[in-house]
Amino acid sequence: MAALLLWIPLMPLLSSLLLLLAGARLGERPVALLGVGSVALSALFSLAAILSFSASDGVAWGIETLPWFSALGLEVGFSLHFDGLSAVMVGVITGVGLLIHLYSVAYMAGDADFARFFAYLNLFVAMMLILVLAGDFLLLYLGWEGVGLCSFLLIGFWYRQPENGYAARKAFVVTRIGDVALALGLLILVQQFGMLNIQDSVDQARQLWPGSDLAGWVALLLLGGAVGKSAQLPLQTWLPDAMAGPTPVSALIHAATMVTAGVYLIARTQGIFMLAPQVLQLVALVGAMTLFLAACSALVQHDLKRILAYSTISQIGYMFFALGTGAFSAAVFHLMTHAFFKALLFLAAGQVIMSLHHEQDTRRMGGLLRPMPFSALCFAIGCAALAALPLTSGFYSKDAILLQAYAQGGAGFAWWLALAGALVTALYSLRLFVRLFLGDCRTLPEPDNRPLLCWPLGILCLLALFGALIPQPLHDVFSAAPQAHVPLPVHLLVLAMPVIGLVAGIWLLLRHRDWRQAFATGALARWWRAGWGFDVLYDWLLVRPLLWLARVNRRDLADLPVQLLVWTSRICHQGLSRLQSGRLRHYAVGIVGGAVLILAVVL
Amino acid sequence: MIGAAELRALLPLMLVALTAIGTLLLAGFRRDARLAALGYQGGLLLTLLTLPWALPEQPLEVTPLLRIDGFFGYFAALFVLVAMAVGLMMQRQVRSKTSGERVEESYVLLAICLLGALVLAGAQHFAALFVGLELISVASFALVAYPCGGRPSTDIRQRNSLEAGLKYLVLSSVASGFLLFGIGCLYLDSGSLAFAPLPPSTSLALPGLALLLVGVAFKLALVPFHFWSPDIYQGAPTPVAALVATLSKGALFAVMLRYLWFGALQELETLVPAVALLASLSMLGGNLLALRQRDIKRLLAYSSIAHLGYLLLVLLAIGHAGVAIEAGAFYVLAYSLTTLGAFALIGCVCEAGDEPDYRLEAFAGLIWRAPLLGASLMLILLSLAGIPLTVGFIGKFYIVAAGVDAGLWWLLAVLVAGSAIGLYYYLRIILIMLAPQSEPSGIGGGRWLVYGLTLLLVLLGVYPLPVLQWLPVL
Repeated sequence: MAALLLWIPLMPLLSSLLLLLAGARLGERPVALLGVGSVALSALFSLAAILSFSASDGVAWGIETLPWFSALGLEVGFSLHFDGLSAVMVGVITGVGLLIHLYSVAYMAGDADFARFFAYLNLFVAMMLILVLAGDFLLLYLGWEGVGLCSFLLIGFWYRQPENGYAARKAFVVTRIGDVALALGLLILVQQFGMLNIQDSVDQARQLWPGSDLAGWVALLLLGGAVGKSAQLPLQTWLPDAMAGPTPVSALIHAATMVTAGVYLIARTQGIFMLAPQVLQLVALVGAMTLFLAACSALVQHDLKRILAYSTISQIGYMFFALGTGAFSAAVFHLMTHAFFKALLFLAAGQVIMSLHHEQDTRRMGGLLRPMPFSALCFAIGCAALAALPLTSGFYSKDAILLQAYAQGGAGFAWWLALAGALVTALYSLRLFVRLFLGDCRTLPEPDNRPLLCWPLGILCLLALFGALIPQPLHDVFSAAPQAHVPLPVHLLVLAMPVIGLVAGIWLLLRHRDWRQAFATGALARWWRAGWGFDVLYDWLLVRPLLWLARVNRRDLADLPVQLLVWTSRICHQGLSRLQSGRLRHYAVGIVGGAVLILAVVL
Repeated sequence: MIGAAELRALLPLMLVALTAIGTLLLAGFRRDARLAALGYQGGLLLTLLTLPWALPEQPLEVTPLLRIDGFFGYFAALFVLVAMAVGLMMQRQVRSKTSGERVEESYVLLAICLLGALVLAGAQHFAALFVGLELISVASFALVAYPCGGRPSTDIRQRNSLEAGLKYLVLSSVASGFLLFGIGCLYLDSGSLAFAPLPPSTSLALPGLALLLVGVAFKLALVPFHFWSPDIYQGAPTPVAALVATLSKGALFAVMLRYLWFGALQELETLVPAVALLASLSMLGGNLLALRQRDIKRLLAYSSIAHLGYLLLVLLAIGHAGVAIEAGAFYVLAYSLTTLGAFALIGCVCEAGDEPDYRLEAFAGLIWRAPLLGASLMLILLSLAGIPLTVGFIGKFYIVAAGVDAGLWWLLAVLVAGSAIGLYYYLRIILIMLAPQSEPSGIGGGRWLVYGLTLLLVLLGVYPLPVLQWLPVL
């Protein structure tokens, strides 16, 4: 059984290597077969692993350390770990990943770099699986950096347009800031406990660190890594630009899986975060702020994919908020349902964009309900789940977050922000749907209804509606939250918030077009549209000073030591070379001189 | 007293000696290069295969001269493999040239070299040390001047190799003189030639050790005793240069490791400044000399000077750090593997035409001409530079770890500086290799040896555990 676990990440990894080496020589059909087949096998193995896991009553198991090397008392090896949290993540990655791979076969058909696309996509799935199955920090970090690399490669997949390359670089550099923090945090853990195993290290921390400042610092550094990868404040700026990649990539990497790696990281190391309540509060605050700011930005965007990107940031903000308030299982629950409905929305958006000849601006869309009823249905379900309308999967998970958060900490500032966010979410979901499907038809679509595009969408529709019914074996991973009484008015308020948002939206739509118009052209909307000005802020605070410094410093002090080194090296080289005369007697003199030197030093 | 157990332990040495005699007889009765090569390789393969059986469970002293233990086993296996690879290179040299030279005896000399190396790997006595060392040296004099791959005496290359052989002979004899003098002093001092701690506070021990150090430093080509090595590397046939670079240096380093480990630890304290000086001079000097070198063989000579400088760190760390012996043993392996690969590649690329071309420009456009060879060259150079995922990185990592444990901060700083300079000339070759091809030229045979060595170099760089598990038993 344990060997099975090994094959889950190995299948896509091998297929990726094969595609990288020989993909250019294969036709589209074998490439697609290899790319999709490997993920399908991986999904099959995952299913087997999950089934055997639940059959054994949720006992965590894994592969013992495969030794790599050992030096200076540190045993370095690889181990895999499979528990409830890994099970959920693996299920989401391989399940949603498989659907997106299928969709990509149709979406990318005819692209000159078909094989390269699937090689990267498979590599991504492999790295993501390594990340969530890792039993020790080394593999975790490998997966973490691996998904970052794949994200970079896939955002810049169409590298001939310079702006795609820019977006890829931006994503890489911004997440790198978080990665450095993560690396530091992990190094502190390894240095303190002298082992790489995640579970053991966290257990050690639980026993040794209560009351120590170190837990806080490590948690803070881990949080730094998490906000970078999950596009949370203050490192959220890369995700909207990352939409430059192909749409399936946005669905898989920048909505369903990779950006939730931060959530996974915090959930995995929750034992350390529990030791640092202030950092945990910070997590909640970061999440709440992010979810609200991003929801406001999503409300005023024009680009279809940017709306979805901001909505992703906002939804991951909910997960962080849940983590910070101690509602760990609710966070992971929302992670799963979000993966379903956001993948649905992205893939449906991809279909719309394809049908409109790569038009992404929602101002030139509208009235698509009649020509594209299937897409409209997908969007309706996706938006309903996103807005957390009752009986969709998003409803259950967001409800769980808000209620558990209330039960844990009452109604603080962060909680009210999260509640307000729910309202704004409903508003922008409605706006998205209305813009695309109602009103006048501005661009005539050529509906693209190939079965490979539609089948994955259909399955995702079902998941977005009923995904909340999938059981989550998380009770052994997280210590059960203490049951607290939530008063009925709070229940009703949480329940009603999306509905209020929806009704208010319809009311605005029907009655007060002039208000909308005034708002959309106002300064506030412009500010929100620019993502609250973070890009400009960072540009002025960081990028420009750095560029200025580099320009001023072009020929300067810092170069001097380097130049000096070059000169001395060259001079020494010439001097020494002259001694190589090729004459025996000179060489003999060298020996005698050396002997004298050594005797002089020793005696 | 030599009994059955001792004979069994001596089996590797006897088999190699038999290989030398057998090859000589084969060559005497029938002049056939292929037959001689077969005899040589067969003998060595037999030695390698019987090695695990021959090694005793417990360290065994065979006469006061030799000690057969895990340390011997590790180095013996390494040296036999090195000798086999050199033999393969030699064989290719013959196959590509048809000028009627006689190459059969070179296998005899190679086997004698290997015998000397094995004696050094097992030596625990100065007599064994000297015998082993001279076995290697005498055989190498002849090998360096060996008429290999050219018309006798008229060919410029032939004259070069004669000159190189003569230089090596003269200078090496001087160094051996120093070595003997040093050994003599130590004998006068302690009354014993065995590797053992010296009695304290005597007048002759220190000068003796210093003179010993001079002799050893010459053989290891440490700055300022390095002058011979680029000339020898350049003049000698390529396989022989590989032999001098790997087998003879590795064997001498092994015996030094054992000597310091067994005996002179406390005496080392007083030698530290001298060894540290040699190490830092070698690390800097070797790399600086290689900096703008245009001849690949001379460049490798300088690079190997620097590598031996890194290795000296291990000798200094030996008293302080537990990993020092492991580090040294592993680095010898890493260095030998990589250097062999480099020389095999030179044989493959530079000696393809009628006239060998050892300029760096011979590699221009290699990656386009022969992608696999180009990739191999890149990996070999990265391994020499100590970049991760190659065996060179693991070796250097070990040395740095040993140095940190022993607190040799200044020497580590020099090591870092030397490595940084080293990157320049290693990467420059890669740059030349990536340049558009200037003139089309062929590729010689022997590329499978290069591929094999490169593969091993990457495998051990990614997964060094099989070797590392072996090391603690030393």
